[in-house]
Amino acid sequence: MIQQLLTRPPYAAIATIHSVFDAMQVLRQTCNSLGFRYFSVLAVPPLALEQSVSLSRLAILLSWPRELIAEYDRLDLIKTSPILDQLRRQITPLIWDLAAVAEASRGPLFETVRAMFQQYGVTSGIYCPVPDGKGSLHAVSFIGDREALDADEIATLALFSSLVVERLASVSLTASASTSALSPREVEVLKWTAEGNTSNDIARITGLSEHTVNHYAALATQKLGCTNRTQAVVHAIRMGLFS
Amino acid sequence: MFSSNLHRNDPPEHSPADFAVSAADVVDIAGTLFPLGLWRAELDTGLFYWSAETFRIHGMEFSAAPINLKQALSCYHAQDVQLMGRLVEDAAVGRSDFSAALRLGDDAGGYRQIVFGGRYRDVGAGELIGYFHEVSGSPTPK
Repeated sequence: MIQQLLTRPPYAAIATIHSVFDAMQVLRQTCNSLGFRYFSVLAVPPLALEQSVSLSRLAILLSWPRELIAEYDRLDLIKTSPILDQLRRQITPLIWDLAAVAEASRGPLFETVRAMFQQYGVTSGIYCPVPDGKGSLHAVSFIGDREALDADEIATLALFSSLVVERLASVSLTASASTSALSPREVEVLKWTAEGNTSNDIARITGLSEHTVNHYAALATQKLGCTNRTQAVVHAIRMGLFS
Repeated sequence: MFSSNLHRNDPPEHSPADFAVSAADVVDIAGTLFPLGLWRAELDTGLFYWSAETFRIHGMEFSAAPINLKQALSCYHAQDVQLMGRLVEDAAVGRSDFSAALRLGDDAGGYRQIVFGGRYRDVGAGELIGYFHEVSGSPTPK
């Protein structure tokens, strides 16, 4: 029965996720089909926050407009977010609506935050907490100005969120495994590229033919789950592959 | 002639072509207002190139050769290296544009604020092009 359920939208698309880029596509489609404007997948930090925490740092995936992200982080809203605070306390989806916030509960930045979100057509949303069973907490959110979700939609998004986070974790593990599976030559070719060397330069440095250098670069790109050599080089630097 | 983003709000009758000013002229003019460093990445080779102004912003000597990306990124705050990388990767795959404010280390152990942006360009096997612009003002705290 459950397997049958998982072959239907919106769950079926999750099986097509093999990279972060795929996940962005699936979440974007689900977001649009449900009438939301933006989505996010966050790593919810524990209570003891580092001073340098920001939305852009916590987000694993985030489709908010960059100007909204910049303003959110400029106001340092992560540190006082009542949503994050509540997500640490509950395991059921959290529905929020700016219009429903009681007068007494409005903090000093409430009007600023409301105006900021309304500028981007955001008045409400849902956050689905997803604990990973190892002590970490993630949350998948959809925000916008659509009408209130019904019970079926909330339940669907709760299950969808769990499946997406599980799939992303699997993709990350695969990426890590792929990185460690790069041969020394593949790592070497990527490293020389990251240092600004052309394939011809690398061939001269390594004694390989240019054709072989390009072959190693292509293999490394593929193993890292990347689309092109630029992405592979930047990805390798980010992952500390050359440390 | 002009970048489509530069005059998108102009009424139709105010055609940029009437000014007989090229995109290159616009870049030159903009350069007199504030220093604008440029960068380019070839998606198929993985090589990045900087303009002279970009080298100056980063306190490095100019070179026409592809840059040492590892060395270049090491000048930035560690958190911002991750952000830059993610933005460039997403653009390289999704053909999207982006911009962000970043912290570039200075000689005094502090940081200067740099605006970094880019977009996809459908040239050859695909490229990313973009800019660096130093935000004037007081140094950014750590």
